[in-house]
Amino acid sequence: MSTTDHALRWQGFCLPKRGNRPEEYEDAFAGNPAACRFAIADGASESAFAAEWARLLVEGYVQTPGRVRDWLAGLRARWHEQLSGRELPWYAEVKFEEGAFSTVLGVTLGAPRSDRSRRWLAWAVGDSCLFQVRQDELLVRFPLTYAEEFGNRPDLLCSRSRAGQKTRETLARGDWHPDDRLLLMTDALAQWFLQQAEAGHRPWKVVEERATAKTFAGWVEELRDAKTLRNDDVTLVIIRS
Amino acid sequence: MPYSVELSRTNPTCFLFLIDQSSSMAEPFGGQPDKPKAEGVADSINRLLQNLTLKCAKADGIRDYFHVGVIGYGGRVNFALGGDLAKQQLVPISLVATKPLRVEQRTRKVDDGAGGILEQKFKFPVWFEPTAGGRTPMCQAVTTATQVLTEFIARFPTCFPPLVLNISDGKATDGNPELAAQNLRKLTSTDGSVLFFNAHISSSPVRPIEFPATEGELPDPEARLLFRMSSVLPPSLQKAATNEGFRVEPTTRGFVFNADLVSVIRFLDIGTRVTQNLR
Repeated sequence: MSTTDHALRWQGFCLPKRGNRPEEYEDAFAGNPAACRFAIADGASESAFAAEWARLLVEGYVQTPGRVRDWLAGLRARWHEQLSGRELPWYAEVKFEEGAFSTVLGVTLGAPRSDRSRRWLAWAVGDSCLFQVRQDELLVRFPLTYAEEFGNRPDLLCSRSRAGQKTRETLARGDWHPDDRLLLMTDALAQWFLQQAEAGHRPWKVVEERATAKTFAGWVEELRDAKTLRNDDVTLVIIRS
Repeated sequence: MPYSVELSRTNPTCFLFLIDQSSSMAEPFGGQPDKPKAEGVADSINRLLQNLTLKCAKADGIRDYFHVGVIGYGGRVNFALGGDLAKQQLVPISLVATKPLRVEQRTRKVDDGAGGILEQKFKFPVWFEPTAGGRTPMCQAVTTATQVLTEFIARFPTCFPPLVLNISDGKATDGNPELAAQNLRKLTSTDGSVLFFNAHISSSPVRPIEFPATEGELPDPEARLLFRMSSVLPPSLQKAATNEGFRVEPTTRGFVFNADLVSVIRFLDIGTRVTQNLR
């Protein structure tokens, strides 16, 4: 997918976990270049109905300006509405009652200043990551900063609101220069990216070279074969001017 | 590193449950004296099967990360899944999920988020009824498990090592089961040896003990015997157990006393974990 407007270009890439069918992909990504809003999400494998929730989260983020808390309740109601009223087997009913869980990361860029620089503001729950690359340097890592921080229990946003429930959200902001790139990645690719950076390599170069519509899937499979990339759904969004 | 292979539908692992159904299981359960041990065992196996199913449940059905078998031993050794699954040795978890004996409608009280209490209905599947009768051929049950898993490993040689969960009061009547347990633990896939875990359901009103590191801390000879039969947690499971809040040492074994082994299901990794309590 690729969209262009007068200021920002963005591309999104995805590949399901090896061994899973395309419809079993539970990450999601979305971009709204007119509003300069972009998002990725990673539905948790141990929850059900998570792909629907991840999709609602990214669409909700890119389409709705303003504070997350102002539109989250509406998204939760939509998730419930989409799925309720069905006759479900006992296990699906339990999963539906528990709710779906997902990480999410959204980033909004401000209007360009006279020197074409902008502000950006990012919001994250869990281990979906944003990296900012300036020239040949990794400038920002958010919200995780080291490869060893990844685990199988990230913070998650639930499709149901519960008493006493606390969701740990993190925010970051920064400046964007016209030649900067923002890379959004779900956990497996983000972990690989940080491992490479920590080893002194320049993974952003590899990403920019291999992430094309034709070559992305082959590249991810190569990393999986080499066991440098965990077998998981993979999602990448690249934003540049 | 052993015990690290990915669980998948093409390379599933196996959960084999051994259930003591002997006459001693009619005695009271230490944890709840008004309840026979057989009821404690039935609760335990129903919760285990329910949690195993839910770990694999997705919107479009159940993913077969596990094959499941149940061996009962009370008087004689038998394959103890009931109803449509009667006499089957191992079945994919999706079949277990869709074939309970019955699904009960139960209610529970939940916080309504506004200071009140709501009664919530939920479905509760039942695969096992309490049963108790006959002697305790535990050695024979463990040997049968060894045969079943030899076949499973021949079919899936690169699988995550199968897990055997024995739920018993530890009073074998056909000899010392330690040797049979040793033979079971010798079976290996390319990813490691079979894991043998034991849950001791005791009449002693002693507080539950989970994943001990030495037999000295256990209250009776049966518990110590089952402890010795149990596998030491391999490093990857030690790490998972620590993440689940258990205090773990290098000699910690897969053994619980007057408790259930449902937490073991959480030690297995099928992807992003949702932090919440087991049912």
